[in-house]
Amino acid sequence: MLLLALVPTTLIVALLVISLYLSLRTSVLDPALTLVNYVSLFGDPAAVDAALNTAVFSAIAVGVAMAFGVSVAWVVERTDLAGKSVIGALMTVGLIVPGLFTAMGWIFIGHPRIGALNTWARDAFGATDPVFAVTTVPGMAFVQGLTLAALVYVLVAANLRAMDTSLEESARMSGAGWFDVMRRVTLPLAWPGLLAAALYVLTIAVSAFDIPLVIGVSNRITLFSTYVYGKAFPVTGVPEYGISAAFGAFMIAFGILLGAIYTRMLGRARRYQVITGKGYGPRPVRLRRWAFLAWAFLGAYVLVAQGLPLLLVLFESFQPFTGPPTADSFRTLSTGNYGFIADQLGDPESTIRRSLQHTVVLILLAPALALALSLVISWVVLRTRARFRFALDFVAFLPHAVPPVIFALSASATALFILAPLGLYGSLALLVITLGLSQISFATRVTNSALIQISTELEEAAYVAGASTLAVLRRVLVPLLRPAVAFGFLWLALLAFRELTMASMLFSKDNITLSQETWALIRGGASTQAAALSIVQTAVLLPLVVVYLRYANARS
Amino acid sequence: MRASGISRGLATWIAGLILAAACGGGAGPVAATAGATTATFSPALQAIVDAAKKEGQLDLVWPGGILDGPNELTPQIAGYKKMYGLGDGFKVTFTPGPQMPDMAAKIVQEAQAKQKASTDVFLGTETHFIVLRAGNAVEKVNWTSFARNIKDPSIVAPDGIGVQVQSTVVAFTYNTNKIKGDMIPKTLQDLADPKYKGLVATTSYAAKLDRIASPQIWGEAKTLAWVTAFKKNVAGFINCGEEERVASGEFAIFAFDCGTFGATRLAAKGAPVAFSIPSDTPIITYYYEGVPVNAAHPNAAKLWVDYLTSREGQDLMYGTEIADHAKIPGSKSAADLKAFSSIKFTDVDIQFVDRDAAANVPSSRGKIIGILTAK
Repeated sequence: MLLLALVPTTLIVALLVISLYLSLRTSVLDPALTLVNYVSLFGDPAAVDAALNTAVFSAIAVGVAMAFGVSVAWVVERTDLAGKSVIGALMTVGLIVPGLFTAMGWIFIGHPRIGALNTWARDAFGATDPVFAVTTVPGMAFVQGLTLAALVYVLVAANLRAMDTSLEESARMSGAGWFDVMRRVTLPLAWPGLLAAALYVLTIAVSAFDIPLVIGVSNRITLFSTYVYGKAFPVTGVPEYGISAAFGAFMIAFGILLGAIYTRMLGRARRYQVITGKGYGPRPVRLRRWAFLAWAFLGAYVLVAQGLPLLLVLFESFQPFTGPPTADSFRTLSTGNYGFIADQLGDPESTIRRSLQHTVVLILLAPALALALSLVISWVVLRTRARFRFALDFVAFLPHAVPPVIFALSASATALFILAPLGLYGSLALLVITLGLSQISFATRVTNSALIQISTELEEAAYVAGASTLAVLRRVLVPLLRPAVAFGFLWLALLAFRELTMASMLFSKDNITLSQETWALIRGGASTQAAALSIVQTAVLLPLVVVYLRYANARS
Repeated sequence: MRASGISRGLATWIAGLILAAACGGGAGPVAATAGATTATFSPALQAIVDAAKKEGQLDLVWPGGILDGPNELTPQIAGYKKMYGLGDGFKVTFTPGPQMPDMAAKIVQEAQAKQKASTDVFLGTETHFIVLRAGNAVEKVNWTSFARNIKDPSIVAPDGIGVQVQSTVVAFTYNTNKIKGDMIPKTLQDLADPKYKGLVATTSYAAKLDRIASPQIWGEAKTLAWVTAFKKNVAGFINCGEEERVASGEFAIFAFDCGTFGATRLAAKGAPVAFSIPSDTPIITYYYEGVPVNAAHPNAAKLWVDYLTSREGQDLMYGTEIADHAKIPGSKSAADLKAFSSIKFTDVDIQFVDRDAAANVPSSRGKIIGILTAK
C-alpha cells in the first residue's frame, strides 16, 4: 500500500521538479543548465506587470468572494429566513457554471463600450465614463470574486453550521445586540475557518485562467496564467517553456507557502470548532422585519452573480452573431445555433460529438483515478505508522496550491520530450492522468475526513478474522466510505466538466473537451454557437447537480 | 438519507454517459456519402492515392473560423473522397485548434521532439510557413509532379513547402453603426489619427504590419513611426476570425483584419460590418496548406491540398468564405477583385519575404510587436 501511495505522490513531485528543471534550461533540447530564464523573467516588463496584476486581481477577487460568500452563508445557516434553502441550492449551482459563460455574460453587462450597464448609464444620465469596466483588473477580479463566492459559501456554511451557539446565546442573554454578538463572538470564533477559506480561494484566484483569458487578453491585461499560456503558445517563434517554468517556480514556492499556512489554519480551525450535538441545537437569529432586507441582498447577489450572465448567454444563443441586447436584436432571434449543435451531435466525426465523448471519459475517469489514489494515500496516512506519512499528505495537497497551468506545462513537456516512447503526448490518457493527479488534493481531503470517522475496531476485527489488507479495504472500508466517495466523485466530476486550463495546455484532436470546444468556437468568431453549446452543457449538467444537491442534503 | 435512490440515480446518469460515449465511439460511417471514382490517375498520383488508402484517415487541425464552415467542409470531405476514390470507410476529422502562430510553434516543437504532428495539414500564411521552414517542420513536396489540380507553379511555395489555397485582400473591418462617413479610414496613415483613439483592435502578433515594414512597401523607419502613433489608438487585441467583436461593437475597427472574407461573411448574416481597403498599402495575402514532416497521414494530406485547389473545392470554399484563390481558373474572387481594378495590390507571399531575406533585410516583426504590446 505504501508503494501504491508513493506512485501518485512521486508523480506530483516529479512534475514539479521537471518544471523547476525546465526553468534552468534555455531549450528542452539543450542540456546545459542556466539561470538565463530567471534573468529574462526579471527583465521582462510584461512578467512584472503580470505579477502585479495577479496580486491585485487575487486580492480583490478574494475580498469580493469572502464578502458575498460569508454574508450569504451567515444568512442561510444562522438566520430563520424563510425559503433560504433555495439560496443554498442556487449557490451550489453557481459552482458549476463554467467561467467562460460568466466571462462572456459579463462582457455584455460591464464592457465600457457595449456593456448594458454602461450603455444605460450613458443613455439615461449622459455618463461619459463607464460606471463599471469589466475590462480592468479590478473589474475582472470582481467577476472572479462573484464566481468564487459560491465556493466560499460552501466552505464557510459547513463551518457556521458546526459552530456551537451557546456562546452567542450567552452574549444575547447578557444584553448584547446581534451586531455586537457578530463582532465579539461569532466572527472571533469563526475567523480561523474564514481565513482557511480565504487562503483556499486565494490559491484558485492566483491561477485563475478562463476569465483572464476571455476578458483580459483582448484588453491588454496579462495575469500569471495567461502570461504562462502566452509563453507556451507564443505569437512568434517556438514555445518558451523555460521562462514559463521560471515564473512557475515562484508560483510553486508561493503555492507551497499558502498550502502550509492553509494546513496550519485548518488545524487551528478544528481546534476552535465545537461540534454541536449533545442535545444543544443551534438557535437561528430571528430576522423579523430585516427578512425583507436579507432577501433583497440575496436576490441581488444571485441576480448579478448568476442570473444576468446566464440570461445574456441564453439571449446570445438565439442570435446569428454576437451583440448587446437591443430592440433590433430581438427581431433576429432564431434557433439556428441549436440546430447547428443538433447537427453536430448527429455527426460521429464532428468536433462537438468527439469533444462530448472525451468529456464523458474525462469526468468519469479523472475523479475515479483521483479518489482511488487518494483512498490509498489516506489509508497510509491515517492507518499506518509509516515514516514520512505526513509528507505524503502534504504532497497530496500540493496540486491545489500549485497553479494547474504549471502542472499542465510540465506534463506536456514530459510527454513530448522525456516520455516520448510512451505515446502519451496529445492523448486523452495524458489529460485524464494530469487532471486526476491535480484532483488528488481535494480527493484526499474527502477520503481523510471520511476515514477519520470510521473506527479502527471494524478493521481490527477483520484482521483478527484473518482478512488481508486488500480484503479489509474491499469488504470493510470501501462499503463504509461509499457515501463520502460518491459525494467526492460527483464534486470532482463537476470540476472536471468545467476544466479549461489543462484542456487548453494539453490540447489535441484526440482529447479536445467540451470546454475547449466552447473556447474554440468563441475564438473562431462563433460566440453565439458557443453560447448555445454552453446552454446545452448546463442542461446536461443539471441531472448531476440535482443528484449532488440531494446527496449534499442527505449528508447534512 | 435515501442513499439507495440517489445511488440508482447516479448509476443511471453514469450509464447514460457511458452509452453516449459508446454510441459515438469508433470509426462509424461518415456522414457524407462518397462513392468510388472511375477516373484514372497518372502513375505518380495513383501511388499517392494507394498510399492514402492504406493510411485510411486524414486529421485536420487548424484555427476555427477559417475554411471550417459546416456547409464548406462536409461537402468538401465528400468531394475529396469521391475525387480520389477513397471510399466511405475513409475517415476525415476536423478539429478547431490553436491560432496559426501557436499551431506553427506546436508543429515545430513536435518536429524537434520527433513526435507525430498534431495535424496532417497545416494551414497558415507566409509568416507561419517561414517558421515551419526554419524549424524543418514542413515537408518539401514536388506538387506538380503528381497533382491533378495543382498545375500553376505560381501557387506553389518555394521548395514545395506549401500550396496557396486562398487569396484575400487584407483590409480594415469596421462597425457600420459606429464608423460612418469621414470616420471610415481610407489609408493606413488615417489610423494613426488621434480621432480613432480607443476604437481600434489589432492582432497581438502584428499580422501583416511586418510586411508593411518591408522596403518593398513602406520600409522599417516609416512603419515603426506609424506603429508608434497607431498604438495610442489601439483599444485591445483580437485574433484573426474574431471580427464578431467588431460586429458587437466591442471594437469599432479591426486593422489589419486577416482578409475581407471575415467582414463579408458577417455582413451576409446581417451584422453591421463592412471593410475598407487602405489605398496606401493595398496588399493581397495567401493562405497556404502544407504537410508537416511528421504528419500521420502525409499522402492523404497531399491529396487534400490537391483537392482544395480543384474548381469544386474552390467553389465550395467560396460558398462559405466568399473567397477563393483569384489565380485559379474560374475564380469568383477574381471577378470580385475587378471592382477594385484601380488599385494596384502588392502580393505578399513567401517569395515576398524571401526577397527581403535575400537583401538581408531583418524582420521588423519583433520591434512592431514590442511597440504594440508595451504598456
